Amino acid sequence: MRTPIKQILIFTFILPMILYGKPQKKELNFFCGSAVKVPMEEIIQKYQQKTGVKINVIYGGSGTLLSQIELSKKGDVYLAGSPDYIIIGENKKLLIKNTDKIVSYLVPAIIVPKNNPKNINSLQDLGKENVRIGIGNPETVCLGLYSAELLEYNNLLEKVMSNIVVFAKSCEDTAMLVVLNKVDAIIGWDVFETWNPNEVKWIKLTEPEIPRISYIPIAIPIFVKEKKLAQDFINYILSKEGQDVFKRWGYISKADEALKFAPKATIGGEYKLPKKFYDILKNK
Amino acid sequence: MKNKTFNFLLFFFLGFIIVFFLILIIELFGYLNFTTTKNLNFSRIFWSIRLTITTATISSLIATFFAIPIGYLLSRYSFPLKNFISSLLYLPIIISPIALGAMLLIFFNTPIGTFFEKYFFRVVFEVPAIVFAQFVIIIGMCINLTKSVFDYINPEYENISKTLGATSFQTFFYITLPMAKKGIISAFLLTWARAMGEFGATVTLAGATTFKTETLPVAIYLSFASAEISTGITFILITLFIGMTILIILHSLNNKLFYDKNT
Amino acid sequence: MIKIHNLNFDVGKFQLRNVSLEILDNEYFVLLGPSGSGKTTLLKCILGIHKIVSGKIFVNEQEVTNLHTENRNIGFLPQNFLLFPNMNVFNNIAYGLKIKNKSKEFIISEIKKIVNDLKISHLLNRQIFSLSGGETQKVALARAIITNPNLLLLDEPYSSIDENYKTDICFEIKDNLKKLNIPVIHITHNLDEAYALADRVGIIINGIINQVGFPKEVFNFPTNENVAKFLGIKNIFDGEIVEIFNNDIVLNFNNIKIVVNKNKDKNYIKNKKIKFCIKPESIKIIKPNEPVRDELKENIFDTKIVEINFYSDTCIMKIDLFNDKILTMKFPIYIFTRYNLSIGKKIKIGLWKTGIISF
Repeated sequence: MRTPIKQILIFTFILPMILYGKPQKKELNFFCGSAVKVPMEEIIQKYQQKTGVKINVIYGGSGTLLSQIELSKKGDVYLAGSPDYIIIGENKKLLIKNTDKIVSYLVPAIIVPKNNPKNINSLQDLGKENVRIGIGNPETVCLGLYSAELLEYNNLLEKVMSNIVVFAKSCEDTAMLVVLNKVDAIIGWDVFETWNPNEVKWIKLTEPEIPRISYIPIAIPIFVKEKKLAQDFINYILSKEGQDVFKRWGYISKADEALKFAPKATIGGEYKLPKKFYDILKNK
Repeated sequence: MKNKTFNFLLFFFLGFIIVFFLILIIELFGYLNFTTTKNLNFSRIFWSIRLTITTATISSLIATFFAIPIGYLLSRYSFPLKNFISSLLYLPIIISPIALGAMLLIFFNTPIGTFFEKYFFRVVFEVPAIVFAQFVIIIGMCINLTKSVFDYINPEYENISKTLGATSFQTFFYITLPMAKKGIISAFLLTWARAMGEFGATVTLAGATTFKTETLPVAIYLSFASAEISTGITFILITLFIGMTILIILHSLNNKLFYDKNT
Repeated sequence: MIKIHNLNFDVGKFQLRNVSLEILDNEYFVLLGPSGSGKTTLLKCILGIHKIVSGKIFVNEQEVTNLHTENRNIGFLPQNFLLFPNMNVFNNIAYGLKIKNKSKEFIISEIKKIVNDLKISHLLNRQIFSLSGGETQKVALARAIITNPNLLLLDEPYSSIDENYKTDICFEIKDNLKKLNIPVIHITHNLDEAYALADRVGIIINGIINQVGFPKEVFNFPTNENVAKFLGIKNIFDGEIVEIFNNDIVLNFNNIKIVVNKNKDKNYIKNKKIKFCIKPESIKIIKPNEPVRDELKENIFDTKIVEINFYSDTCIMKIDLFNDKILTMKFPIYIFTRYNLSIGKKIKIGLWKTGIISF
């Protein structure tokens, strides 16, 4: 019996190529930091409906997304969780210089479970005895790096680090720590309360404690296929329609609104983990 | 089909996969950047290696210890709902490791979990969490392997042992286990390899805390998560080298020492 | 002494039905039957490896029916011997005693005794995969009897032993076992083996014991067609009783009249159809002009040779009775030469009356 080699080959290779051949529709590869997943889903849907352009969105941590862009040599739009990553991206020659824009501002906050079991009301309280703290991993999560900066600025690095029991591996994971009641407090972003209003509480920091206001930047990678298309999408996010969605989800869109929390704080910039951070870790 | 063609096809299938794996490894070298690797913190790497090997060994030893009696039970005995119950053992394999990690996190919020953490030792976000998570992931696979080992041993030997006056327990200890030695060690090695590579459940239950719960898979993840590709690749190559070396040595030892005269 | 009462057992489609046996101490009992007839299954029921559906088993007046295997103290020599591969010869034999925590000295002395009797003392340090078939058998036997069992079961002990060696040692082994003064049940499907070794033999077919008795009795006077078929008696026919005498009956067998010895235990009714068989060894060739013996006189027939087959020392020949029945004959090869036989030749044959058995 002759084995139907020809038929098998056609079926395995040629048929799929015909079926999944070059797509006709316009589409964008959007690498989006998970810090804005919640409002972004709505914005993407609106944009797709409006323009018919398909957005392939990939959520993840800022660093992971950058790695994916580097390894796959793909990417039309990149949204990071903090300005640090735009600088890293530009240095690695992955992002087109000067395409970055500010999408939203983030104010650091102490987030505790709704009932605040350990009664934490200030940054100092994080150093109290018998308190379990969690932060994002400072090496990889924007939020974590920011937490380290915040603590160092307020001379609380050693004291609070002895209470830190875990580094979470992403922004959402950090938020989850409180939602699941695994720690007594985290250093997070103000928007965490809007994400989970029933489970967590936002303890505001005082003005002098905040050294820097962070923001969420968006930029265009060098691998972009149609720069105009990417720019159009970015403009939509920054437009009134897009910003309204952000506002509804508790994100701060204007610089002056953000500065209300800390008038003397700087906006943007870089921060590098100090050596003593590693020393403290090792000796824990 | 001619015999020569058949043999060729067999080797072709093997070669296809092997060559693909080799390409995956070799392509990594293309991304190694000497300047970044020069700046690697070697004490941190050794710390991570030690943690990974220790936890994987402990969790696979515990898993094998459980899997031996359970595998024997499933191999020799029949009981009501056997199919249903043995399918339950595949639960951790079916759901994603991250989902399993979340379930474990929730477990430690239950009364049993909190009781344990209060009166014994803390698990969540500590090193025991790594062992615990690895154990849950590998136990189903380990049982599957040990069951196969016992399936292969002729139950007639056990019957003869009984006619000579030995109880079920004595038979298992003096006859079945010695005959199963080689197979069980192979099962342990495969389970250990899987534990070495475990990430999802581990990182969810133990966290990704530097110098505390940073196993090699977590270190690799953290490198890519901070866009440090060269560092990540270095970790991958280290993991591959150490893991493969240990496996090859132990596997050859197992084959030499316990040459199976049965086969 | 072992008594089995009405043992019943089911596994899948296979059944053991109402098996009852009584075997005395010092008796070498052979359970004979075709493959698949339930011999090994019965052994496993006696050992307690299979749980029986109903019935009782007594060993030395003690009921063992509900005891676990390890408490029944029954020795077992399995088919293919199955020595434990993770131990050497010494440890295999010592296993039963080690399990009972006997002292080292005791074990060594017991082993010495047994290996001397069985002539295997030179094998004690050997690895089991280096032993020959016969050596393995003896080691397995030593392993089984060292614990002083109350009963010994041998499962086809010679099936993997070559013929020559078998005829040398089977009596030697039987003698050794007799010294133990316990009942021995030896199962086999080999007719010669059973006939040579058995004190008594039991025929088991399809899970039912058909006949038990001394070998001579059973082999020469099978009680039914199944036993006869199994014993290799090919010439089984139906016949109608036409006349009944004091010691004989006359059967009409497709228009041929055959005179058959009466079976004392049976009632014969005229015109009833019964089965009978003719043992191939009891058909004798009658040379013309040769005086005919009395036992043959009553059943003499003309036949034609239709087939001749040769084996190493016997000849199996098929002859046509001209009533569309073929008879199978069996005789030593020198007869073939003496009578100058060939296919198609017409010969006169006589049936030895004692070789015709009715059921």
